[in-house]
Amino acid sequence: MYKNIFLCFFLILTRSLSWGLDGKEALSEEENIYQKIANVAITVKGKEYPLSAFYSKSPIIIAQVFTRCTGICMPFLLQLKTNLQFIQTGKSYKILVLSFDPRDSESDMQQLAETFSLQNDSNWIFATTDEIETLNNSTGFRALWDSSSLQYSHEALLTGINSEGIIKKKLIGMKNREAISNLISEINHGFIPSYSIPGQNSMLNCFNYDPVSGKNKPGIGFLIMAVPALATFLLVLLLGYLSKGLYHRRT
Amino acid sequence: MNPQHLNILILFIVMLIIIVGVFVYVYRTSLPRNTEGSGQSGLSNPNQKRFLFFVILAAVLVILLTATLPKTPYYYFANEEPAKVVFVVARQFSFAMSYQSGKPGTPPPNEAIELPAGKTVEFRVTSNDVNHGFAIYDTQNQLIVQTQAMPGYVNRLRWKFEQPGHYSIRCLEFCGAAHAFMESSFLVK
Amino acid sequence: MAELKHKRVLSLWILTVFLLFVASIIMGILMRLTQGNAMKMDVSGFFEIMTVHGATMIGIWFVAGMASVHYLLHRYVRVTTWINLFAMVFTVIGVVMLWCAAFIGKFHAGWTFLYPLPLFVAWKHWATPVFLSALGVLSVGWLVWSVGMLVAIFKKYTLQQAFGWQYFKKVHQVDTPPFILITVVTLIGIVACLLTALLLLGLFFSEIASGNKLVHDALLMKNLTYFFGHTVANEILYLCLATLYELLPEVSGRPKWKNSWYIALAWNATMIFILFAFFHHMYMDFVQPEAMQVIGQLASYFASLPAVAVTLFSVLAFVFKNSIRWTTTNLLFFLGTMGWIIGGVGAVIDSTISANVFLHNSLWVPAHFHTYLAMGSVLMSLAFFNWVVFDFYNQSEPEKISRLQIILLLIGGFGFLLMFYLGGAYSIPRRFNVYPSQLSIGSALALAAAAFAVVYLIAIILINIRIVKRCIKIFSSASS
Ligand code: HEM
Ligand SMILES: [Cu+2]
Repeated sequence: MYKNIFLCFFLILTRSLSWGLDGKEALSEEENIYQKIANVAITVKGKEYPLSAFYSKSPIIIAQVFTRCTGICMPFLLQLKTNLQFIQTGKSYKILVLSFDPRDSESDMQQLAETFSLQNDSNWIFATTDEIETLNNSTGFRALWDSSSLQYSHEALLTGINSEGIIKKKLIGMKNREAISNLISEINHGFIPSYSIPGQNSMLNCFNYDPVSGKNKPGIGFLIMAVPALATFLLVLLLGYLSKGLYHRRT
Repeated sequence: MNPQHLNILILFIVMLIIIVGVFVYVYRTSLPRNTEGSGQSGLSNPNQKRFLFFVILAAVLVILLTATLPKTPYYYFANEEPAKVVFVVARQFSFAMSYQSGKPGTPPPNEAIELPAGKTVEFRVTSNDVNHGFAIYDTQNQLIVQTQAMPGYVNRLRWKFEQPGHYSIRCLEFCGAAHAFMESSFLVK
Repeated sequence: MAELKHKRVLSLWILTVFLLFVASIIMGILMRLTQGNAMKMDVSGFFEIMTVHGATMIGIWFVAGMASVHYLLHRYVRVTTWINLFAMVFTVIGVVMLWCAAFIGKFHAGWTFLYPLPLFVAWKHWATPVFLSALGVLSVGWLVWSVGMLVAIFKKYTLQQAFGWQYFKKVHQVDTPPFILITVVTLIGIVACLLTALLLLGLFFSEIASGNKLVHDALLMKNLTYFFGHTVANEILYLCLATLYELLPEVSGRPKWKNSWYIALAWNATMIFILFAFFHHMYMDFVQPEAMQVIGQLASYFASLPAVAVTLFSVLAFVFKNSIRWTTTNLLFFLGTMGWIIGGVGAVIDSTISANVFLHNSLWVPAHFHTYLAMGSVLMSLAFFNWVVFDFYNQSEPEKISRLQIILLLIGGFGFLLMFYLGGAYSIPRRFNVYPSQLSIGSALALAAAAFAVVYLIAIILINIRIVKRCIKIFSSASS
């Protein structure tokens, strides 16, 4: 409950902040699309694997976080978890939560998994890697170290990799359920004809495409579009009602 | 002219001739010299004929709908993996096209594009400022396919170019004074 | 039949419309000449003219439709003259502001002012707010007028009667004249699209006021733009059709058309479909959900069906093998119907998604809308003008019509239009001031179109001389 309220508040905040974003941010979701992900070595529960060992089995979504984050990482993961619980695509995918902080150890990551009660969920993999730089370059992830707050300033990034290791779709920021189902559909050979880019069109978005049901849920923009027509019909009803019976009275 | 353009023009001209013909014919039946003496007046059974007319018209429209609706462009080649991907950023008044997507904060990359013939390619089209069009003209300068470049969105257009040669890109959404000069091209080999 | 004040207002109206019409046709010819490389115009100048031509043409013929409906409504309900005067003042102010924004302020974002182009200022800074305010002034003026007409109608007809719903029952006592029914249906569409215009302008101004911090969704803005632009252009024709239903039988010396269940049904259906047809402007925006695209095609197809099945058939059946007393008025109505139907065929082709892929924003688009405007609603409005200048004196129009005028009109009009259609088929883009060398055929077509347009202009002037003369007479006689 408490968590949800916090999340809502956070969402509203990030939403409203993104109004002011300019075009520079806009295309970062397009960066490195269709490129092959760097096949870095990652460590899971003490064992080392190449990244390809995961994506060749099933498509993966990489979430890059760090455990000492006091900012976006925790709400981001929480929201991702909640959203995924509601998305029943029947499609296969795994979520790879990877630390981009060299200070994070293997056990830090396991602790993180436990915080979200995901330590026994086979769909979630918590891992570290020694090739952080290579991976960041490959996904286009940017983290700036701020020595005064001892924090990284970074964006919330999800990178969708298909089973050939190709980056098919990236999501930056806190995304809604539709966007995440789009991502899952895309790494499973789905095709979505169009994407909105973060930042530019947060205000009054028209439609949200939901690949699970294949339907478009009208967003707030759609409601706005319908307002004039609805207002007209109400007005006509009102006018008609107000003058009802006048005719018969006169004749 | 490409066959599809020609067919549409012919369809239109045929309809034009039929409509003008009917109007001229109906007009002539109303002239005094044609109505006098013949004792005829008006259409017999108008309501029955009106219903027939309505049914025929509705049937034609329904047939046209069922024939054309499955051919929408949104999922062209959706089940194939593109052999090449081109990132297109439109802005007043040029197209930046590249195999690489740009880095945020830097101008979009722009390079000469060469695409393989007979293979599916994908254009990821967006705009940096206002609405633009992204229309592909074939080697005979006929428009073959298009999408819009809308700020805030990426539109994905997939196509297979069979004919090798130079293809032009034109902006078909009015975007300001130099709109007509907003042009680019690529080579299909 | 109408009082003097009313006649004066109307004749002033007609004179204004005619003057602006000739000016706008000349602008059209200049555009075609530029596209044909026969003359040079600087780039911004061309698009200023394009903006003004589009906005003025839509404005005057909308207003002409309003004037005719207002005049004929007098026969059934009590309408005030002040509301017409109000609309007229607002229209004049709006048009003057428009011309100032374009010709002094160099505003040239097109009359559809597609977001966010007007905010990418490439002209004087005041021009964008003035242009947008001009549209606001027009919208408010026309909105007040439309609501006023609706109120007047509802004072006499109940809701059910106004929509003709009593015809769906076995027995009914009250008759709704087709004119009233069509007017109500049209006014509803007009109110909806004008409210949309105001909403859209509000969103524009909110962005300007926030110093461009508040960015709107380009897709939403485009939808709103075409809900307004497409619907307003379409309703022009429906205003004319209302006039046609009322006057065509009358001037031909035949009994009035009666309403019936299928006419009522057809127009009720049209009212709904017309509100969804505008989606066809977004076909090439792949981000628009596919469901909307399909609805767009369905609505575009079926919006035409009832109106065509009922109106076209009625007009043809009305003339077929009936001795008609042909005058300029009913001939123009008849030809206007033909132009409307031909434009409709062009529109149905273009509103087919799979054809729109290569027709979208080509010259096919101006081709079809010029057909139903220049050879459809313009002719119907001229028919009304022709009739009304005689009706002022309770005279009926002399029977003589000039064959030459009609032939010039048809050759000029359809020749001009055919060049647009051919341009569309040759993939020539619309809204290009010059055509690239690979598309040089567009320039040749443009030159031919300019020549035909001159013929059309001559025909229009010839047909209008009589109207103008009488209007001047009415106007000046009243003021003395
Ligand atoms: C013979 C008379 C006319 C001529 C020569 C003419 C010419 C033109 C030309 C050359 C264009 C630009 C086409 C392009 O996109 O390249 C145009 C656009 C337009 N015309 Fe006309 N026109 C005529 C009559 C009319 C009439 C009667 C109407 C309406 C009642 C009208 C409404 C418009 C509109 C709304 C546009 C769109 C402007 C835009 O794209 O922003 N025109 N016309
Ligand atoms: Cu452009």
